[in-house]
Amino acid sequence: MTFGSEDDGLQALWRDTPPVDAAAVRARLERTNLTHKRLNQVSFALGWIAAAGLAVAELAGAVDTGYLAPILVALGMAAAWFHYRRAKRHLQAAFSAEPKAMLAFAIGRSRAGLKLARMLYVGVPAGVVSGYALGAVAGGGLAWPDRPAEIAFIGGLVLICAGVSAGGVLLARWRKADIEELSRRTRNFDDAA
Amino acid sequence: MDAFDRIIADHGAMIRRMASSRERDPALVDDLMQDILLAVWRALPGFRGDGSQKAFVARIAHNVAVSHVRRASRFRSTPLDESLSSTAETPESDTDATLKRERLLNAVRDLPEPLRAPLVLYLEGLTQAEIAEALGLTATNAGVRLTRARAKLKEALS
Repeated sequence: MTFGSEDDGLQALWRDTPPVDAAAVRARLERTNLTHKRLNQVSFALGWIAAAGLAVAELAGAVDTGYLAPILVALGMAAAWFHYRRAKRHLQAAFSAEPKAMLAFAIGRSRAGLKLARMLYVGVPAGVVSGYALGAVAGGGLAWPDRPAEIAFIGGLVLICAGVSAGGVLLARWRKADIEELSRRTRNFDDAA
Repeated sequence: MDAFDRIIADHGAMIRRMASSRERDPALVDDLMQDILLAVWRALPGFRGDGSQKAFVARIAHNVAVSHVRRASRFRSTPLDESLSSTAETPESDTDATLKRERLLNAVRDLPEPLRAPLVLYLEGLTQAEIAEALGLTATNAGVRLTRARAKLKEALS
């Protein structure tokens, strides 16, 4: 096999692959998308059940922690969910398609800023998912009525997760001019979906 | 057939080849292809039509593939030996062309990413200007990388 004067032959050889089954590819995409949506819904429901359970237990007197823990959990999860939705849209728009947008998004257009932005991109969804997981664990607080400190601690962690999400939104807004166009694309995508 | 289905039909094979140039494991190729198609789906409303659709899809595919390779390199597992899992339906279908293509694919996979990326786009038929735009390079730099990639490939295939 030679190269150089046989570029055309090499290109032809490279492209000599069977066509893709578009229907199968589309079906796989839709199946995965649905799975993600369901996982999202399940984690959301589990989190709320845990928070509501804790609040009811508190009101019923089964857990004697004062009202702090369940209020923290419920507020934290509501904030996390609310901010996650918005942060995800902005951040996905900023990072999904173009490295230039990623660079523009980075704080001060510096290498450290880029690292921070990437960390947030990973950290926002991870933080929120952790929030739901911790919320579910907080539901397990029903099994430890004598450990109010742990339950309050968990509620605090959930709030921290919400704070990370909120930070993502603020950062996205700060760099709004840079990512406005890409956000519009994502809004279109959401509307179409 | 909507715009997205047309993209799968028109450029699906190219996307699969670009994914195959980064991954050996067929399951990972499928995953990467899916990630690329999702990114294309998201970006499609922003396609203004001022360049070729092929170059637009190739640019997104490249960006997703690079992120994928970077991420995968942190959690790399050892794939099964490919010689044990030929995808040919019959031994007879392992034709000379298939073997040659497999050799070419392996040679491309073995190139470092800075050389592999322009070469793959070149093999897909993009012009030097399109390659430069897709990779965020100057035309000169893209040309230099392409020349080096060709030389490496020639060496590997000789």
